[in-house]
Formats: sequence, C-alpha cells, structure tokens
Amino acid sequence: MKLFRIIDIRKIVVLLAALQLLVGCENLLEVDTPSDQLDTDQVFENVQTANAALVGLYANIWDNSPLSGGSQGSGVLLGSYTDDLVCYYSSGESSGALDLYNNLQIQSNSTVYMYWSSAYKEVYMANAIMKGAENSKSLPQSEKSRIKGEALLMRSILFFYLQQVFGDIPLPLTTDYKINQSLSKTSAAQVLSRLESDFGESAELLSDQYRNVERIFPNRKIAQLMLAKTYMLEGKWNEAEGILKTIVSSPLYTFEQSITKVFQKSGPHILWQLKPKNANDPTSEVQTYYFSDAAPTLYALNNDLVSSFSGTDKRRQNWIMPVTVNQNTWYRADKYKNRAANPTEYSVVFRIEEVYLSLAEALAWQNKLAEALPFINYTRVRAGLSALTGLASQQVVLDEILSENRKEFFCEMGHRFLDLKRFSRLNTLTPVKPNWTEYHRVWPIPQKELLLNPNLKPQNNGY
Amino acid sequence: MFGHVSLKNQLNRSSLMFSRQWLAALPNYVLMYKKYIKLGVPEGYVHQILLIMRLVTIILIIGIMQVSASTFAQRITLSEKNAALSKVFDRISDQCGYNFVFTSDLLKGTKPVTINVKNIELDKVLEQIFANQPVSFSIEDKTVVIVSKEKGFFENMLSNFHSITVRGKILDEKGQPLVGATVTIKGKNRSVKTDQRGAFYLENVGENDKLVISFIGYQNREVDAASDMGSLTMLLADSKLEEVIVNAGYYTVKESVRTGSISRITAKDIENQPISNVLSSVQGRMAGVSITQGGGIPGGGFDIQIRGRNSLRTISNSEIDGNQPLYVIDGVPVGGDMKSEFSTLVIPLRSINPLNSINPNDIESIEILKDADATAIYGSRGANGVILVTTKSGKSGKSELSLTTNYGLSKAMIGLRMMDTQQYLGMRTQAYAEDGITSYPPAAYDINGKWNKDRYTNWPEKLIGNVAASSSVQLSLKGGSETTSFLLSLGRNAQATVFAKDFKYVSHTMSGNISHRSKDRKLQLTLSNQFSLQKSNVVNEDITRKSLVLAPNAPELYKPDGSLNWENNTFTNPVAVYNSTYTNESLQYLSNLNAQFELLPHTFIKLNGGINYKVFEEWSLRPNTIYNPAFVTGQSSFYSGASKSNHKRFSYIVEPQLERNLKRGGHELTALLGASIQVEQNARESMRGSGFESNAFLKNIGAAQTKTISDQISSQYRYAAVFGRLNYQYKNKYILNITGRRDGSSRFGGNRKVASFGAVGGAWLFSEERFLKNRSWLSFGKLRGSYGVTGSDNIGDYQYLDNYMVSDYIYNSVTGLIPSRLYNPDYSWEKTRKLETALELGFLKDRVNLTVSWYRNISSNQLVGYQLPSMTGFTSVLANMDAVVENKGWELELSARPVSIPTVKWSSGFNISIPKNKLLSFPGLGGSPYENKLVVGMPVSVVRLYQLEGIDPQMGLYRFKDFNGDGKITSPEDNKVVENIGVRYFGGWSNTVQYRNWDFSVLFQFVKQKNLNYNSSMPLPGGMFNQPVEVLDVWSPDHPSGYYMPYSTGTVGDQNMAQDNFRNSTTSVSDASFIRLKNIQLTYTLPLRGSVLKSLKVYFQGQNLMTWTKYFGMDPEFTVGGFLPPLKTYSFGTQIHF
Repeated sequence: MKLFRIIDIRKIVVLLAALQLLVGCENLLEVDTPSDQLDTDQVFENVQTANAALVGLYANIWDNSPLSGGSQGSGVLLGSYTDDLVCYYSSGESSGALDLYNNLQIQSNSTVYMYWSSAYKEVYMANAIMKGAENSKSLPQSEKSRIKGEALLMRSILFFYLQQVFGDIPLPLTTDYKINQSLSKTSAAQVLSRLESDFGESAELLSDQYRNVERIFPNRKIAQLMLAKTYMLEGKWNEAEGILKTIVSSPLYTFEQSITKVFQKSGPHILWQLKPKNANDPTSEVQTYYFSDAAPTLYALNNDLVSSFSGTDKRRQNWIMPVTVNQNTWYRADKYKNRAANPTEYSVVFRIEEVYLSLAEALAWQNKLAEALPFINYTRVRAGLSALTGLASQQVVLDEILSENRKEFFCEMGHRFLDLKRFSRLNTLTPVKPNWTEYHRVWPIPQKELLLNPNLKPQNNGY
Repeated sequence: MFGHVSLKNQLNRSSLMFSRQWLAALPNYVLMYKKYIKLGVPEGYVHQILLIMRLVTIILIIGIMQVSASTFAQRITLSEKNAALSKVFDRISDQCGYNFVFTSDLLKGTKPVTINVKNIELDKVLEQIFANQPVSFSIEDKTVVIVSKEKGFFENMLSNFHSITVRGKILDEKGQPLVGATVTIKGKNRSVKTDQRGAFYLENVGENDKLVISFIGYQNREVDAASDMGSLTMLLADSKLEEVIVNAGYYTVKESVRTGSISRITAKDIENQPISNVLSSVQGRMAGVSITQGGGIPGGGFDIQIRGRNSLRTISNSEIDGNQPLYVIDGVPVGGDMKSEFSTLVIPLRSINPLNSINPNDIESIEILKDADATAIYGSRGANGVILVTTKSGKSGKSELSLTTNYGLSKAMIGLRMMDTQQYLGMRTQAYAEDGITSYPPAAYDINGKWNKDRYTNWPEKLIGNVAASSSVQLSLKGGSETTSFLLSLGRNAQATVFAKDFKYVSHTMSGNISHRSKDRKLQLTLSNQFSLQKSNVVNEDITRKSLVLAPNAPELYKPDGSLNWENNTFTNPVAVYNSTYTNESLQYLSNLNAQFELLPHTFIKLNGGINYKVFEEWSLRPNTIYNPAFVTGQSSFYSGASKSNHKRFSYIVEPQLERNLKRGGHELTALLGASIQVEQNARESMRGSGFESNAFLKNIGAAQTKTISDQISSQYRYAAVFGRLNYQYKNKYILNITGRRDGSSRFGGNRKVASFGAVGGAWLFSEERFLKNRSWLSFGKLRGSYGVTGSDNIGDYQYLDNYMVSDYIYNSVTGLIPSRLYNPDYSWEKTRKLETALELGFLKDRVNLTVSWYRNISSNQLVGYQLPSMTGFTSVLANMDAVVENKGWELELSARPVSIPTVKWSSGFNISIPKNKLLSFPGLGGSPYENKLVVGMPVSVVRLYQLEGIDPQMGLYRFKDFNGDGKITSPEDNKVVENIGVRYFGGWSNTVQYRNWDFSVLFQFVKQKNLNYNSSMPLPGGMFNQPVEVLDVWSPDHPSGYYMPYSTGTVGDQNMAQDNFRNSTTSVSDASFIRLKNIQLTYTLPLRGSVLKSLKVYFQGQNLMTWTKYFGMDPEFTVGGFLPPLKTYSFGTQIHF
C-alpha cells in the first residue's frame, strides 16, 4: 500500500504521543469535592452532622430572624413599630427601620424585605432538614423524629410571625424552588389551621427532655406553647387553656422570684433561649439598646411606655435606665446588663411568665376570672406591686392582662404588637403614633417579592 | 504526566526501535482505559471521550497524509516548447510553490527553453533548464535565485586587479551605530556584518560593484562601493500594513491576511502613562471595547464589555459576572477577578482586576479578540472576547539599559456642587416649616443651635479633594546575541489616595524574558516570567458619599490637640474611619514556556506551558476608635475587630501543538492541532477576631477574645480541550480560516461536561485582483467575514452539587452546616453565535486606512443566576434560560497620516462603535421573575420607571402618571416607562505629531450614553443631608416652575413615598454622555551625540485632564455609584537609555 510506504516512522511517534496525551483525558475533568462542602446525603448519615445542620438553622435564627434579639428582630422592629421604642436613626438614607417607627413604611422598605427574606431563608433550611432526615437511611428513628420535630417547630414559629406581621402569606412546605417560586398566598385562617396541626405534630415528635441543660434548644413544651398561642389567635380559649395548664404544671419550670434574675440564663423559669455566637459575647439586645452620655443614635424607650409604670414598680427601677445629656433625658431598655464579657445572659425567647399571662388571658376570655387572677399576680407581686383581688368585669381583667403584658414583655419578641393585634386594640396606638392607620395592622408584602412572583398579588390593602 | 515525558523522549530519538517499544506498550493503555470505565465514569461521558479520540485520530491521519505528500512534492511535470525562461519559472512555481528571484536585466541574454519532463525532481529539472544559459541558479529555502554565471578565470583576474578594500560605518535613523547590519556585494555571494561600533570592512570588492546594506526594520540601501564609505544612515522601513504581525493566541497572523476581528494596541500607546492598570490606556483606543473604570482608588476593577453584554448574569445578580472576558498573559490564562472579601466599602463590587499585576510598561502589545473567527479557538471561554497580553522581549544587538522615572499628581473629579451653609440651613428651616414642626428635635444639631450656624466647610473638597502623589521607576536591561536575547525589567509604582491621610498603593514588578533560537532555526524557545507584588493600604470605607451629604456647618474634624472631634457626642465624625484600614497584598508569579521545534520541514511541534501562582492576603482592621467613645462600641477595645483572609490560586496549563505549513504554487495551507489541559486550585480561608486587650494586638488575631476561623475552602477546576485550525490561502488573495475546539470543563455536572465550538472565517483581498491592482488611490482592499459558536463556563465551581457547606454560623460552639444553594444539576453550556463582516481599505499608499465592521452576536441557552423570590430560600438558582440576547453593531476605524515629511509627521486615528443590544425572545417571560425587568425587543439593560409629571399643587408632592388609573402609584402597574441605561455609541480620536525632537500626542475619548443620575440616590431633601445646589430649585406656590417638591424631614407624611417613587422615576435616568481629554503627552528627546547616554527623553503626561459632560452626578464614568470617581493626573517623567 502506498499509504504505508509514505508514512514516516517519525510521524507515528508524533501521532502516538498525541494520542497518549489524550487517552489520559478522561480523568482530566474529575475534580475533588470541595473541602468545605458535604453531600446532602452524607449530612444526614449521622446524628452529629444532622445536628450541625440544625445548628446552622439556630445560628441563623439567633443572627437575623423574627426571633432574633438584634436590630432585625421582632423585639426591636415591632417594638418601635408600636409604642415600646423610639427610633433615632438619622432620616434619609437607610430609612427602612425609621420608616417603620414612623409607620410610614412603603412596599420597597428594605427592613421589611430583610424581615421577610431572612425568615423564608430559614424556612427553606428547616424544610431541607426535614427532607434530609426523612430520607436518611441510617439515622435512628428517635433522632429522626427529634430532628424533624425541631425543624418543623422552627418553620412553624417563623410562619407564625410572618402571618402576624404580613397577614396572608405563602407557605413553602418543600425545598423545590420550581413550586415555591410561584406560590400564592394562603389565607390567615388557613395558615393558623396548618400551624395547629404542625405544632401538634412537632409536639409529638419532640420530648420534654431538653437536649442541653442551658435550654438553648427547644423541647416539646415550646411546641405546646406555640400551639396554645395559635389557639388563642383563633379564639379557641378552652383548647389553649388545656395546653397552657400542662406547661404550668410541668416540674421543669419554676417561677423566678427575683426581678434581677429574670434575664439570667440559669433560671428555671426559662423555656427557651438563644445563645450568642461566641462564648461570653454580650447579647444582641444589649448591643442594640445600650447608650450613655449621649443622645441615642439607635433606639430609646418610648416615654409613653416609661410613664405607664408606677414609680414603685421594680421593673421601672431595674429594667429601665434614664440617660440625661444636656438637660434631655432618654430612657434605655436595660433588661440585659452585660456590655462586655457576658458569662450570665442569653437572649430569652420564651419564659414561664408568658405561659402564666397567656393562661390568665385564656381563662379570662372564658370568664373564669377568679381562676385567672393568680396568673396575673405572679409578675405583679415580683415587681413589688399589690396583688389584684376580686376584679369585677371580664373587660377589666383583660385590660389588666394587656397592661401587664406591656410592662413585663416590652422589647421582647414583638409582644406588644402581637398582643394589641390579638386584642384588636391596635388603633389605640393613635395618640402615641400620629401616623397610625387601620391598614398598618399588617406590613406590605415586599415589592421585590411581588415583582418576582406576581401570584402574591394583591398587595396588602392600603399599600 | 506520563504522556509528557515520553513525548520528550520521542523528540530526542526518533528511531524505529524506540517506536516499537512504544507500540508494545500500547495495550496497557487500552487496559487502563477499560479500568476507568469500571471505575464508574458516566456512560455519556465515555461516549464524549471516544468522540474526542475519534476526532483527533481522523484529524491526525489527515495531517500525516499531507505530511507525506509534501515530502515528495518537489517533483515537476513540464512540457514546453521555445518558452521564455520567465514563463517556465511561472509554471514551476505554480507546481511546487517555489519563488524565483531575478531581475529582468539578468534574463535579457537568455534563450528560449524546450523541455519535456514527467515527475522529475525539481533540481534535476532546473539543471536541464539552465544548461545552456548565461545564467545559473541557487536554491535557498524555497527560493530559486537566478545569478549570472560565475566569471571565468580571466575575468576574475581582471576584476581582482581593480579590486578595492571598503570601510564604512552604518548608522540608524538617530545617528546611533547599527550593530549586526548586513553588507552584501551585489550579485556576489559575499557579505559581512557590522561590528559593535557599526563598522564594517570588506576586501576584494570590485570598483564597479554595488553594496547592499540591510537590517530588519530598515529599508535596504544600495550604494556604489568606495574605499572609504564614511557613515551611512539607514532609514526606517515604512510601516506597511503587511508587516504587522498580530497575535491571535495560538497562532500569529499577518495583519493583511487576517480573517478575524482583532483590535490591537502596542507599547507606544501604553508606555509611560500615569496608570496602574493597562486597561486605562485602552479606553478610547479600540473599537468595540467598552471599558469603565471602577473608581479612583487604586487597585480596583474595571467593567469590560467586548461587543456588549451577552449574558444576563451580571455582577448585580450573580457572584460571578458572566460577561468577563478571558485574560491570557503570554499564553497563560490568568483566571478572572479575584474577589476580595473585606473591601465592600472601598472597592466597587470588591473586584480586583487581574491585569493589576502587570506593569503597563512591560507590555509589548494587547490584542483583543472579538469575533467568532478569532475567539472560537478559545472555545468555551471565548464568548465574551479574549484579552491577550504579550510582554516585551529582548532584541539581538547591543545591550541597552534604560531607566524611566515618573512623578504625578492626581485629583478627584468632583462633578457636583453642594449647597453652602446658608442655602443648606435655608432648606432645613423650610423643611421643618413645611412639616409643621416648630421646635427642632434634640438630634437636629445642624439647626437647633448645637452646631455653629455660621460655619462652612466644603466637605467634598476637604475630604476627597486632596492631591494624591504618585511615582514610578522602571529599570530595564535588554540585549542578546544572534541566537539568544534577553530582557530584564524592574519596576516600582507608588500611588497615594486623595483622602487626607497617607494611604498608599504600591506595586513592585520584576519581569524577565529569554528567547533562544538554534542556529539552524529549528528550535525556538521563549521563557518569560512575571513576578509582581502589590500592596494596597487604603481606608476601610470610601468616604465619598459621606463627603457629599455631610451638613456644611458640621463641626471641625479635629480638636486643637489633634484628636478626633465628636462635638459633645453630636457628630458622627467622618474621618474616624481613618483609624480603620483595609490592606491587601497580592503576589503573583506567572511563568510561561513556549517551545517550537521544526520536526520535519514545514512541520512544527510546539509546546506552550505555563504556571500562574497567586497569593492574596487582605486585612480589615477596625479598632474601637472609629466609634464615638461615648457609646458602648467606642469605649473599649473589646469592640475592636480584625479580619483576615487568604486566597491562594495555583494553575498550570499544558498545550502541545502540531503545526504544518504547506505551500504549492499560490496555495498555502496551515494546519494547527493542539490540546489544552488546565488545572486550577483555589484555597481560601478567613478568620475574624473581636475583642482585644489592646488595639496594639489588632494584627494578631490570636490575641482576640473571640476568634472565628471560617472554613478552609479548597476547590479545583479542571479543563481539557482539543482544538484545531485550518488556514488556506490562495495567492495571498483568498483566505479561508477554520477553527474549532472540543471542550470539557469540570464546572458542569454529569453528562454535560463536554461541548463543541467552532468558527469559519474568510477574507478576500480584492485589491490584489488584476482589475484593481496598481490603482494609485487604492492601496489595500479586503473584505472579510466570519461565523461561529463560542461559549462560556464562567459560572464558578461545583454549582451542580447538592450539598451543605460549612458556615460562619456557630451555635453552642458547633459550626453550622447550611445548604449551599438550590440544587439544579441540569444546567449546560451557554452558547454565543457570532457573525461578522468587515471591509478594510487602504488609500494613497496606505496613508489613509479605513475599517468598517458589522457584527451580530446571538447568545442563547443563557446560563444565569435565575432570579427567584426570596421565599424560595435563595434569591437565585443557576439555570439555563430560554432568553435569546442579540448584540449587534457597527465599528469604524479610520487612521491617516495627513502630514508625513521628514521634519513633521502627523498621524491621526479615529474609532467609533455603535453597539445595539436587544432581547430577541424570552418564552415564558410573562409570569417569570423577569417579567418586570426585561422587555422583548429592548436592550437587557432597561429599567422601568414612573413617569414624573411635575408637582401636585394641592398636596405639594410629586405627581406621577397613574397608568392603570387606580388612584395609586404602584409597581409594576405604573412604572411603565422603559428607559435604556447603556451606551449608544463610544469611541476615541487620537493624534500624534512629531516635529524634530518633539513628540506630541493627544487622545479624546467619547461616550454617548444614558445612566442613573444623582436623583436616583438622592436622600429626601430637607433631612439632615446636604444636597447639590440644583435642589434649590424647589416648588412653592410662588415658584410653580420649581423642580423639586417642597422640602420635608420625612417624619410626618407621604414625602418618603413620593421621594422613593421620584428616585425610580423618569428623572433618575438622564444623559451621561461625555467627551474626555483622556491622555495628552508631550515628549522631548534631547539630542545626545557621543555621550554615554544613548538618548534622554523628558515627557509630560496628562490623564483625564478635561471632561465635557452635562451629567448630573459626580462623574459619568462609574460602575457603582457612591464611590470615588476616576482621578485626573498630571505627570512628568524622564526616560534614559544607556
């Protein structure tokens, strides 16, 4: 063959050399897995890594979520939205939080978007953990239940807050973005009935046993408390009463008698608290509320709140600190004390006082006034006030409960907003908050979300 | 690795025995291959590999057949009767591609030829032809040179009798000795080279002989021989279009026969400019390349768009900008931007351009590849164009030492005039009056009497109006022998900032280049190394924005004792941030080896290899002293923080190539086949510390009370490809260029790793056609066109994995795992189809050149961070999108030399690009997250705005058009006005004039565009923020034509809402066009004869000296608003050659 004759052996060498390079080609594109990432399946292979996924969720919740004690949490934002706090941000540039304080929030408000998106980010994490635990073949059944229970509880608490703040909300129940991106809103009533069953399921999945003695992870009682709170929103006072009583009678909790120890992390009155990121870090609360020797630049307490206390109220003395500069006096929220090294305080999410006062409320609505009174008095007496006795009408008792809630829980978890809303008394804010109007009972759905998902329309009324 | 070693062996000994051994080894490979299948390579993947191998084998076999054919190609078949010699030459030339060199005088006495041969070897044929002729021939490298027959003995004696000895000296155009010039006796095969002093000496030269002096780059000179020739000055060769060789990446191409679209600037446009990144010098000089500098703080990034935005994945909606070009320095891809972690507040988009690490003075040329023909050989990475940087190399000849120094002064270009105290306080008073607030709040210090109402400070001038000095020094040594040349260059560049503190950016560079060519020219070797170290020490936070909004009666920055003034805790002092620093240090080592060996005649085997090692370290130090000591954060070093991050990147590339050239008659064929293997490793880590015993320990994170060590991230990127090029030319008139590449990238999942790209380009030099040849007016004419497909894998690593990553989130001392991303394993390559045609014309002996090109790029299968509502848990997911984006446009380049006489030379160049971007289609746009962002038929850079209709006299609020008539102004119902923010056209005009020893050049850059103006980010007028003087034009019943609504403090009514809509209304976008005196340069060369110095140049350079614009804002050139705009610089320097 002519072809063979003309092939120079040197060319074969070249050809084969080139081929040799290419044969190795197949493993050229195989890369090592990145050192900072772990396959989803592997994460849920053992309890330790599955717990680490939960840690990611709790740390996010501590850092930036409706439950956070920092400047993006409900304590601050809903506190200044109502009459707990005054916002001293300078106007103009980053006015998201300031506009909320002035009740002038519009749909493009950046703080509203942050509140929404951080919550939904954590909802996704919770959904992913539930799915991972569900699909795991190696996790022991008991751990599987606990992990699912905790994640479900977190998701439901987030939905609870989102519902209270935004009204009708979308409910992403899976991790599938193809479904989630076009969800429409679920009505408030349906959200609550969903939460009823989810809190119930989570209570079944969890046990009473805390997995850490510092109570920094939630147990079954948290799910039960949330279930009761859901019932209360639905006016199911009897159901709420039943569950709250089981918490009250639990040997896990005792009432803390000393006013100075309420925000100490070791108290047996604490249901659940969030631990700061690093050991000895001060709480987010103290970093947000503290100021001295100068006019506040972030937040100070609303004078209306301060003047609602009687002078002898120990809470007024212990939890509120006046700051006077150039003849002007401001009041600082001073529940948390440690500004530098902090060995004693975590951010309390739920404490037994709330269970007492909720129980009182559930009883009062059912006109069981006498039974309700002792549960109002625990905190009053601790604050050095006289115990209430023989109150005449249901209305008076309920008013007392609302007022006690305000004094006991100011700057905590957006209590004031939730209470006024549940009592249908938001409009009483008007004298203190001149811009308040009826439609402010909910925030606007963030504009960005509406634009990206038109199914979320219509925008909340008024915005 | 294995393959590499044996390849070398085979080069060394190409014996039969060795090949047999090799063949025997072959089955092992087959085995190995099978083993891999078992190891679980996905099936589709194996299929791809097989396809690659099959392809390669076929191409190689074709290559071999051609190789073989050519070895025996010098056989001639010829049948002529009484033909003129010149005609016979033509026939032979046609058959074998050999050129014949002769003068018509020589052929005068020749006889007609009769010949009849069949398949006879060339030299035998020639012998037959020249047998009875008065002339003879010699073959030199594919050229047959016709010479008169050697004289007989007698004649030789006679000429010796008259012979003389010749001496002389050859000088260059500047009067410097020209070393190594060739002096040849015409018609005889004798020549000498000039020595170190440029002198030559020739014996036995006939009295009537002529001498031809030649030197590369100079015109040949012919002189009559004489015994003392004196000094002969050589003239530079006219820079003809044909002589420009363009780097096209894997190959070079003569400018005249290039088929692709490649823009180029060279050292003369780059040298000595007061810039730290070479891209600054490209601005305005290249058609189709739009470059925007990120800001005026040195060491930052650039936004580069080569023929528009192809990808919808921009920096604002994705971690990685999908529009970044590929950067290749001396054949080594350097990877894209290295994102810094802690520079959010000081470097726009935290982007640090990879070319920051190259000293502009070390650059020989920059080529930017634009169309499919030029970029398809880069396959998957060529979609956004390729930027090729070639560094300088040494030259044979006398060693030359040169020293360049430069000193410059820069200032920020502040394009806004803010209110003075009286105007400002007037606005504030009015705002409170409008809001009905009579007693000023305690915190309104500017107006409630806490601050002196008579103070006035021009804050922008005070805070960012300082002069920044810069200096640079560069020392370089180059030289070489006939076979080996070298270059060594050292440089230092220091640049201060315009902030009132000694922040600084310093870069050190060291580069070296060694080239060697074996005497037989078979082996060529180039080794180049670039080492650079950049140190940046700047403020932690750019205070430009603060300087604009600070109340003009705000108090002193410092107390008389020099400490920061907090004015009794009423003043957030803007220069407190000077106590914080952002520093980074970037070290880069880039090494490239380029080897070429001529294996067989016209067959080259090449190897391009390189490594790139980069270490980046950054620190952010925030001592508590940046805060007011009255507040908790300012009180103790417990609130001090320090962060540190490191990023290491190591990559290597190996690209073996085989090239074969084939010439026969007018046909010329070049084939290139290569493979490319690239591996990149990235390792990142960061740590933060907070709470220090003392701020003295700030740089020791170990001393922090709280330490957070983020995860140690290591990632890997692998890339492999086979590419080829086939170039065919016929008579230098018709050119066809085919390029292709098959690429695999580890950035894609499963079966989607591999894809093919390719292009075909063609050119027709119609000026070579007979009907146009020798027309005096048209010296050059070419029509070219190309079409092809390129892609992009610029999406980041591992995006297809479903996994959790280690996070910064820690709870109860456990590090949290968080989901990395939304999981989508199915995305695949993004593709851009590019079409281009261009017309290149040269008139009047190329004194006027014109290039007009038209292009159309269509990008489909868009790979984007698909926007999602945050209720999905993330704001985007990487996915292919059905959208089709078209970029088309015109580019025109005109250059001319209006005056070209020995004393005065004036050349001028003008370019303009008119890009048009359009979203062609987007099925499912309605209902998708992009519904309110994109409009089919419009550019992808559109924004939707409310229609501002003036001010409602009743409400005293802005009024907007209520499109749906529901009484409310809402989005997306009412922001219906679609406005394009983007470039309409841009370009530049440069002029260079040489007059005796003076050189003067000037470059204007112009951009016609619309962009967001200051209204788009304006805080509510009336709050405690200063405003531009334009805001004084406020509406009132007495001044109904006022533009801005009545001032307000924003605490009582609907003003915030109105202001928010105003910022997103038609008023926020306006003309941002500008013409900029980009660069001006005046150089004087001192005449230095007989001195130690060879030459001394002094020069003045100005950068961004003047800007003409109507833009309402700081400066119309920006990537992100609110940062320091580019600087204007005056610099002086000297350049000395020894």
